[in-house]
Amino acid sequence: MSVLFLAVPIALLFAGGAVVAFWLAARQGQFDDLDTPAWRMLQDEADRLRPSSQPLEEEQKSE
Amino acid sequence: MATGQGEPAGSADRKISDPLRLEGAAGARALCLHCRTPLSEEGWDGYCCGGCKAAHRWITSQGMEDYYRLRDRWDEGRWEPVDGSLAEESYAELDAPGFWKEHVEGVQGGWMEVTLRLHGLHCAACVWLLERLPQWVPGVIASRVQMSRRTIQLVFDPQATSLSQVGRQIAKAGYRVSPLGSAQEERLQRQEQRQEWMRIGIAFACSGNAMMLAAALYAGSWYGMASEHLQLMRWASCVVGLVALLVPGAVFFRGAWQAIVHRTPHMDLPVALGLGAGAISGLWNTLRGEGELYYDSLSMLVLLLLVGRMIQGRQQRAAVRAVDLLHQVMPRSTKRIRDGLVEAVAVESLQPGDTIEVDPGRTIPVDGRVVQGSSAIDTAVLTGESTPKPVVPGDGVTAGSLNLHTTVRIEALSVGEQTRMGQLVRSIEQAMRHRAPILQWADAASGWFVQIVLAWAIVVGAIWWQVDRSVWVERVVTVLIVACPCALGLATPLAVAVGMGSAARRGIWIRGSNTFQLLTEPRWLFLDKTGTLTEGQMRLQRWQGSPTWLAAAAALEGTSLHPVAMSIVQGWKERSGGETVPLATECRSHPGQGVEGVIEGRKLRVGSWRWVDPMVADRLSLVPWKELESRWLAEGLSPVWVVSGGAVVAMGGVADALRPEACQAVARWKAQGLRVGLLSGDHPEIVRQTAKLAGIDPESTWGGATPEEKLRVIQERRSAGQRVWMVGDGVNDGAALAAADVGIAMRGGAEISLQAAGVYLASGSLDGIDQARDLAGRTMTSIRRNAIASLSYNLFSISLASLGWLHPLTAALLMPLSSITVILVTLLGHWPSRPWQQWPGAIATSHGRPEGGWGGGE
Repeated sequence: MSVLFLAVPIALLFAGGAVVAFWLAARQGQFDDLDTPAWRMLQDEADRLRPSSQPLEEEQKSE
Repeated sequence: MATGQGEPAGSADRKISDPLRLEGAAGARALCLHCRTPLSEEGWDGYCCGGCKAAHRWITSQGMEDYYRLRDRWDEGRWEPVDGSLAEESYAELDAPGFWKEHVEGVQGGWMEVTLRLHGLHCAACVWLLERLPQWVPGVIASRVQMSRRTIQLVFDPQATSLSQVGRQIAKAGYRVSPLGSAQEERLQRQEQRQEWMRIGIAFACSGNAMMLAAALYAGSWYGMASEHLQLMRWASCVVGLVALLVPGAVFFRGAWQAIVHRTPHMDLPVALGLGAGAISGLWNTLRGEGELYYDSLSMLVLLLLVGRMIQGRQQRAAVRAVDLLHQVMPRSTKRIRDGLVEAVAVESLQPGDTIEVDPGRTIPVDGRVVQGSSAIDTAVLTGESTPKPVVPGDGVTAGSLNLHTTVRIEALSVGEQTRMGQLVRSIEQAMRHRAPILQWADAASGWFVQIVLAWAIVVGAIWWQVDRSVWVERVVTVLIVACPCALGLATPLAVAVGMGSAARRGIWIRGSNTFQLLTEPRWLFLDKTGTLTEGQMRLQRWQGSPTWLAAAAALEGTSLHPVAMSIVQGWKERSGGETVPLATECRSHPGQGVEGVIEGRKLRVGSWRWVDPMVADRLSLVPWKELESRWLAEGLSPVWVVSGGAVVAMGGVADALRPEACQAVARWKAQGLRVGLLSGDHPEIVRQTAKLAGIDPESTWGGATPEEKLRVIQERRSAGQRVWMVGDGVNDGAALAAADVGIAMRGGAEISLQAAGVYLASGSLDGIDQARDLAGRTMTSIRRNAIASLSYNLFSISLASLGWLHPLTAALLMPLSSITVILVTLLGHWPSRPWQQWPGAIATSHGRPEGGWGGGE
C-alpha cells in the first residue's frame, strides 16, 4: 500500500493543475459572460469574426 | 419614415408589444415584415413604410435573414421601445480626444479596441446582428456583444472609419451605443468578478479533495488503517484545508478584521472565528498526530458561503444593469449656435449664455429661455403634467422637457447640475443617503451571538480548568467549533439570493436585502398617476361624429408630435380597417391650441375650444355639443373639437386611460388594509377624476404636487412612524421613491426613478406589487425559520459540548449537516410548486401591455 505515498501527492498535483487551468480561464475573462455564449451557439455560420475589408454593398442604395 | 434610402433605423421605434394582433375595431391585421407594426395602409407590399421595406431588403440582401428567424424564436413580445430620434445623433462625443484617452486602446496592426454600452438589446437576434458588424460596417474588424453586461466590444481600423460613424451605423439598425460610465470602474468591477470566480474555483477543488480524504479517514477509523497511511491522509487533508482557508477563505478573515476595526459585528466575524478555531485545532491535531480534523467541513463551508455571495452579487448587478438599460432623461448631444453657425456638441460642454437649437422630438438639455420659434413642450418627465405647455420667445423652459412642434432656439441660463433637473437628481441622491440603514435581523442576531459565544467559551474554559486540566483546551475548541454559526451565516444570504432569483424570473428586480423586510410591512401605498396608475399615453376614448371626420382630423394631426394629435392618429388607425387618410394641404399647427388645414377643398380646424370658437358661425347647433363636452369633462376626458364650414362636425374625447388592472388592484390593496394614495403633478381636477375612477379616496389624493411636495407628503407619513411605499415612474417621483421605505419603479420609467427605487417592476403591471409582497413574505419567513433552526441547533450542541458530551467527531459531522439542512429548507420554501400562473399579474404580464402603451408606437 506504499503506493499511496505516491498516489496521494500526484492526485493533489492533478487537482492543483485543474485549479491553475481554471484560474487562467477566469483571468482571461472566460466567465465574464455566462449568457451570450448559450445563444451564440444557435447561430449557424462559422465565419462570424471574418473581417470585412470591402466597403458597404450596393444593395443598400438600390431601394 | 417614408424615405426609401438608408433609413432602416427609424423603423425600430415602431415596434409594438403584442406581436400577433392588434385588438381594435378591425380585429387582427397583417403585420409589417420588418418591424411588425400592424399595417394600416396599402402600397408597400407587406411593409408599413418605405423605411422598413428598405431595411428588410437590405438585411436579406446581406444574407442575414436569420435575424428574423432568431427574433421570432426568442422575442416572445418583449420589445423595448427604441427612441427613433436617437438615430439622428451625431455620436461626435465618441471621437473626442478625452473619450479616446480613457476608453480606446491600441491593439496589434494599428487597430483600436473599445468597449461601449449598448442600448436596445433584446434577444439572440440582436447579438447575432451586431456581431456581424464587420460585414456591414467597413473598418470594423471584430465585434463581440456581451448580453449580460449590455456592452459591445469593437476592434476597428481608425484609418478606415471613425467611432462616430460606427455609432451612426449601429443606430441605423435600431441600437444605440454610449460611453461606459467609467472605464476604470468597469475594469475594477470585471476584475472583482473574475477574482470571485477564482476564489470559488479554488474552494471547490479544495473542498472536493478534502471530502475524499475525509471519506478515507472515516473509513479508516471504522475498519482500521495503518498509522503511516493515516498520517499521510491527515497531512494531505491539512494541506488542502489550509489552502481553502487561506486563499479563498481570506475574504472572511479580512471582513472580520474590518468588523472589529469598525466595531460593527456582522456575519463575517463569527464565521471567521469558527473557521479560525477549526483551522487552529485541526492544525494542532495534525501536528500531534491524533484528534479530529475539521478541514472537510471547513472548506465546504468556505465554498458554500462564496457561492451564496456570488449569487447575491450577480442579482444585484443585474438589477443595476436593468436600470442602466433604460433611456436616459437627458440627451447626450445638442446643436449649439455660435457666430451664426450650427455645430453639434456634447451637452457637458455647454455654458450658460450659449444659444442652442432643439428640433421637435428632442429633449431640451438646459434650463433657459426661448429666443426664437414657438412650440409646445412636454414637461411630464419633470412635473408629471400630461398636457403640453405652449412656449413662445421669452418663455422659460426646463431641462428634460420634450420639444413637440417646431424647432426652437433657446438661450441657456443654467446647465448641468445647476438646472432644475440637476437639483432634483441631487435631492434624490440626498434622500437616498438619508435612508436609515436597517440592520438585518440575522446580522444583528449573529453580532450578539458571537459575543455571547466568546463569553461562554471563557466560562467553559474556566470551569473545565477547575475540573480536568487535561481536556480544557479540547472542550473550549469544541464549543467554538459547534458554535460556528455557519448555518446561520448561510441562512440569510441564501434566502435573500433565492428570493431575489425567483423575483427576477417574474420580472421583479429587488435591490438590497433590507427591501425584503420592508416589503412585508406596508401601511401607506402611494401611486403616481401618469404611467403608473394610467398607461401614460393619451388615447382616443370616444368619437362623436362621422368617421370621415376622424379620417380628416387624423390627416391634419398626422404632422404633429403632440400627444393629443398622436392619440387621434392612433385612434383612426384602430378604428379604420387600414384605409388611407385624405390628403391635407396648408396644414398649420398652433402650439397649445390645435391645427388647421384644407381637406378636399374644405377648411378644417381641430383642437381646443378656444381655437375653434371663432370659426363656429352656427351658435344654436352648439348646445348639444356643449352638453356632451361637460359630460365628457366629468368623466375625465379632454374634448377635441372638429369644426368645418362654420359648424361643429365632430368631437373626440381623449384621456390617459387607467391601466386595465388598476381598479382591481386598488380594491384588493384596500381590502388588505393598505391605505392607497395618489400623488401626481398633473392638474388637480384630472387627478381627482382618475382617483375616483380607480377607487382611491379623495382625501388621500394630491394633485398638482411638485416633486418637493411629494417628498414632503412621504416624509410626513414616515415621521409619523408609518411604513410608506411609493410606486412611480417619472423623474419627478425620484425623490419620493428614494425617501419612501420602499420605492417601486415601473417599467418604462425614467432612469433616475429606477435608481432611486429599491424595487423595479419590469413586467409593468401593478399586480407585480402583490407578487413582490408575497415573495418578500416568503423570503422573510424563510430567513426567520432558518435563523431559528440554526440557532437552536447551535444552542443544543453548545450545551452538549460544554458538558463534554459531544465527541469532536460528532461536532465535525453536525457542522455540515446543519448547513445542508438550511440549504434544503430554503430551496424547498421557494420550490415552484405554487402555481404562479393563477396570479392575475402573470396573465397580464404574459400578454404584454396593451398596444400603444409603450410610447414607442405611433
